[in-house]
Amino acid sequence: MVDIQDWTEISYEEARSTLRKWREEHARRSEETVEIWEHVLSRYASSLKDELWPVLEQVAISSLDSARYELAIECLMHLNKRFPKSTRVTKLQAMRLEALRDFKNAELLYEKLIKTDESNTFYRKRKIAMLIAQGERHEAIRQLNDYLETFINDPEAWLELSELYLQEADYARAAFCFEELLLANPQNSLYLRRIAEIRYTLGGTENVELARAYYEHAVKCNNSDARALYGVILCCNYLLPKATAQRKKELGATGFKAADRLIAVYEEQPNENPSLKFQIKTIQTLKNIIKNATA
Amino acid sequence: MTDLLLDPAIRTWVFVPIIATTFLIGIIRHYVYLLLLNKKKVDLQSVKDSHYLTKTRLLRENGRFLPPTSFGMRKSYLSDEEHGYLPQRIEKGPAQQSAFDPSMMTEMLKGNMLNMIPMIVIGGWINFTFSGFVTTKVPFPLTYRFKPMLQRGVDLASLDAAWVSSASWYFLNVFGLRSIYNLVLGGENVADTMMDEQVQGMNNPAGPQDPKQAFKAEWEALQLYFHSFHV
Repeated sequence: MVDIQDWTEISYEEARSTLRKWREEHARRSEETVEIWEHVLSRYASSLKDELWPVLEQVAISSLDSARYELAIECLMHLNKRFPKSTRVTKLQAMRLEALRDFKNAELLYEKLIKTDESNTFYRKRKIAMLIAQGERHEAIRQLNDYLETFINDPEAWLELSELYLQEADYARAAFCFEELLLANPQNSLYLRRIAEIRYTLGGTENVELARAYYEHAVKCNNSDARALYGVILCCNYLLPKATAQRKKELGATGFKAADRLIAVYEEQPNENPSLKFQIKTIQTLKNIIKNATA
Repeated sequence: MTDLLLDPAIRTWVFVPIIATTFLIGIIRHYVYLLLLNKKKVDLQSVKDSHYLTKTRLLRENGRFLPPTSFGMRKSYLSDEEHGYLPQRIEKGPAQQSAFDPSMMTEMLKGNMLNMIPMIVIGGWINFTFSGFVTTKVPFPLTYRFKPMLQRGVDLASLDAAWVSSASWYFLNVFGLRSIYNLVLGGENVADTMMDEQVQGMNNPAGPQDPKQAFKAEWEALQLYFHSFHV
């Protein structure tokens, strides 16, 4: 959880270094950025000197994100005065049009920018983002596929595409997208878990077997991943009725281990959990189901 | 061999000025290069190629995380004889060459000229101005063979080869100041990359062939890879 902090009273140095940190991390803390700017940094614009310009860019994007359009226009005016023919400033202007839902003009601007620099991924992705904002899922999927034919290794794009497919309930293709992500980041427990969940949703013995394998690997990568542990238990549960005797023993053992680990995870939680007893009872019930199926 | 005592005037008027000159010339060279630099026109096809090569490599490295059907699907998309991406690129490879040659040539030429001319001019001037005496002594012993190279203008047969003239001090500076340029100009700068480019200037004519070789290598590696699903 992010600690709520009062940003209006901090010192100039602290404000500057905080904004720089967020710039480097690409953190999306737009309202706080606008607050820091308005209460602290705007008074010290002259002391910032050259750092003023990246800060203005950061504040412009944050104000668009927080629907503070007048502040955005102000920042853009300053930037335009300093850098008259810059593509970076044009990009911000296009983003402003996009935020104001003036999609036609924004698209024209993005097209112009793409022509000046063919290999820039940012402009193309914003065009697709506009389609998603308008709810044109099919068109967005088509254009995202085109984009990915050229920039085949872009993880952001694959994630977005899988989200779109999931919204269309096209689970097979969503699994495909996650497999692409997995190729690039095989140890990422999030991707492993989501691929497992999609496979489990698809159903059928083969898919649930795959799901179980992925869930177990996710647990290996992140020991206290409760969702993955639940996933393992559910997969074992699903597979037990149709399994051979020896396989039943294996699945039962896996299920038990996962359930025990899950109980341990729940009990390790430092925060006060009012429904702890019920949750542990649920897991015990699941364990019994597995035991009965194994017997 | 007793140590020579050099006139302090040499230190003030030769040693230090050579350092200063070399350093300043390097900085000037960096800025001139920035002025003359053309913005590189990026070719979408080569960007696409590099991405596909990375994808093939990733498929090989992490293929075991995918079930057999998924892996087979991707493998045939990339390496299939008729419709796969890699074989198509292997065939089409050479066609891209001709468009590149003029622009690449001028780039290389500009880079080389910018580096060679100042070095020759300044080297000659130093040789002319500061000749006839030794400037400094290198801290390690040198053989007799180095004498004609390092002691231009000083024809003393008995002088230890470790004493060098100003021209060699200049060349020592040119190489040695590269790391200072890194500190001052920050990271990528022309004065630093000069030496690497001279060495690689020989390799560049072989450049256009490289993508084709890279594709072929990746394709073969992918064919040889044995897939098993083992998460």
